[in-house]
Amino acid sequence: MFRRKAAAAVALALSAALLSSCWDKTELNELALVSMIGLDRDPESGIYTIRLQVINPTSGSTARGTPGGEQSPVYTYEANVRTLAEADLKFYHLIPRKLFLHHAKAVLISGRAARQGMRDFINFSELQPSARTSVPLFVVDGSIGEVMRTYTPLERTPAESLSSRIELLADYALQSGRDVEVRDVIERSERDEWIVLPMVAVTPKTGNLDSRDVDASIDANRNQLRLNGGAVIRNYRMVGRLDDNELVLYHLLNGDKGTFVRRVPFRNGHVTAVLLSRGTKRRLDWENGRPVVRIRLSLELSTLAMNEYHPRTLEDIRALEKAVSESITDELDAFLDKTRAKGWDLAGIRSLLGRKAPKLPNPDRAAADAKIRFEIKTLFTGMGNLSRLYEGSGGTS
Amino acid sequence: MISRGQFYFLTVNFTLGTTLFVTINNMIEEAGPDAWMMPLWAGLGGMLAALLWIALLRCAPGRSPVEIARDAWGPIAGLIVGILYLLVFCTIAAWVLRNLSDFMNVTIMPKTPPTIFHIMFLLVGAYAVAQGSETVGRMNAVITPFLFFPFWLSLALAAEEWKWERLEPAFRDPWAFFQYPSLLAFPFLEAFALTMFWPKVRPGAAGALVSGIASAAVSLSLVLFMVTGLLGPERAARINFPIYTIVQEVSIGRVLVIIHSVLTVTLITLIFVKLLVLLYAAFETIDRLFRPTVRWPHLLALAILISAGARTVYENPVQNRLLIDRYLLIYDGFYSVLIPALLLVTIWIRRSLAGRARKG
Repeated sequence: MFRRKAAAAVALALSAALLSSCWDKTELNELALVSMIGLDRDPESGIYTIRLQVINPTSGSTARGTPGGEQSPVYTYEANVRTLAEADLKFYHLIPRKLFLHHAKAVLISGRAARQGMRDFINFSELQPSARTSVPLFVVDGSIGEVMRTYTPLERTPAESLSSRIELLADYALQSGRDVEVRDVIERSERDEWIVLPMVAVTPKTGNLDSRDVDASIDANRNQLRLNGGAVIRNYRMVGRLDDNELVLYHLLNGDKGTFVRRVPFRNGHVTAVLLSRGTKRRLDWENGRPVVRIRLSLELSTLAMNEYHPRTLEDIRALEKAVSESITDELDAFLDKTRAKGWDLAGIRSLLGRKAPKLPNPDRAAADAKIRFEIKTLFTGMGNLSRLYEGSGGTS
Repeated sequence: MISRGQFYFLTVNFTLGTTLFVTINNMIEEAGPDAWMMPLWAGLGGMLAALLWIALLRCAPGRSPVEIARDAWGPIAGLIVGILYLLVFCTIAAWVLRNLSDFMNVTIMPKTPPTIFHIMFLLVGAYAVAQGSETVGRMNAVITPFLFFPFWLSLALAAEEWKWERLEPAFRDPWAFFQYPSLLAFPFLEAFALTMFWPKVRPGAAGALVSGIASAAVSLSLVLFMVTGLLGPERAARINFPIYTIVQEVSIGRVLVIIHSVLTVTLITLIFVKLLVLLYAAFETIDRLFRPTVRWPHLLALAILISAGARTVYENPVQNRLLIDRYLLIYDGFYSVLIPALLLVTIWIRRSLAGRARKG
């Protein structure tokens, strides 16, 4: 009996040693947690420049003057390589810890590399089991080196700051959406769809560029990063730009949900409408052999920011809703005319035809010929804290 | 004796086993958004094969296919068939182990030598098998809820990424399965190993076997449906372990981003069940053929044989895929359809001859 117990104890002890996966153990304090990745390629020499922003674990949210408080919260490492795989090796000339990419919050690609095409970067990234592609991808307007060496106020790491800003822009300005991640670029490019990614640039700099002057200066518009317009991507390649206003219309078309503000012509003047997009539905019809795409948009209107006018009767409300629908339709029509003239299919007509009419002989031609009709339904649902505006004469409108 | 319910769960888990990460991307590559229909067709084929096995097993209650072969074809041919089955079970067990270590090496444990996975799984498996069929059946029934809920929960957490348009255009190629019939072999014909349990299951287990195969086919179809809707056919057809990638990309809030270890544990436990069944089938084959009085010496020998086989069964994942695509249906069809059918025909002829002799 004793021998059996002893044998069992030995077997258990042995399995404990073998089950602990000694070969692949990772200790937290042996990892370099990468928070932001910067990708660049010189089109002439073909040399890749990879930059990694690694979180400094000793700089916490400590007060100034305490140990670690004066240290940089992130460190940017740079490697110039001929092939992407070399970058890993090059970094170990500089980094004393094992690279850990899984926690990366943002991937940045330089404008010139994006224009040249980012398929190679993306293939490399998808080949690596340790890298996630569910990370937002930003296109850099200007020097990526400078962006990777710029601090952002309030948030500890620039990557956090950027990823939090695209969420806020999606919710409150509709200038960003859910589909801005690396995996979305893959999926859209593989389906021959278009995608618009946020662009990031450096704001004017003053003082010592590489130190944490940002913390000392009260002017937070300088020495930091700014999201600025959108990069239009097709087939892994940047083909153009959208400005901030066009970004709203693109995300509206794309079915993203969020709040945005529009100035709408109404009864010989303008009113400010706060609108909540509730998503789009597309329907494909045919008229004389020509595809007609009906894009149905539903918007919720609020008078939260409407300091010019307040509707009092049902007729007022219907008129306001109608004015908003018409104004947005006009804007979208103009936006589509402009982008379709450039050959951009930002409304995804080609892909809709591919899904709904897969047997079409020449889908590209049909998509270019397709007529697009908007059916916008605006519903007045919300208002601010006044049931009637003050009417003194000291206003501008 | 193991109960019919336990046998049902054993069938489901065995059939799902390695399938969840070996053929998912192949199927989506073949059939695009309609890939979820493929396992349904294959499952139907698997159920037909199961009916054949049941017909054979019912001819001789309490006997396993190895003994039925010996009864029908005599001691020498019976021995040859028995050894053939032993080799088949060992080969598939080695294959399963290799699939497992490939997965582990590619995803979360790149540095651990594959042999460590093989040996550890075999040691634990051998211990369970040595305890007998009740232990195997009971253990599987106990762990099933711990596999079912974490698996579907982690997939459900990804549901935020769902897009219906990824499943369009739908029903373009519902017959795609017939261009890719190796799916019938792997995993459905491999379920033949479960017939070695048959004499140990309470009577009336035919329903458990057939409905087990049907449930596995439906689960597989549901998994494919979800993978297509969550990843899109373009990515899912290219990524090696799509289910793993889906869960890898899930993040709960901004902090919890690595929950795929939960899924990994579920998948490797499913594989363990498949290995356990195959190891039991091989062990039982030796038992029925040679009636040894000891258990451990030949179990250890089996473990050594299988762990060696796992290193050599294929050289790389590309070869694995070619083996499945080109040869697996012929290979599995030979031992799981042709031999049982011939056995059945022999038994029927013998019985009708014996009946006629009695009449005469």
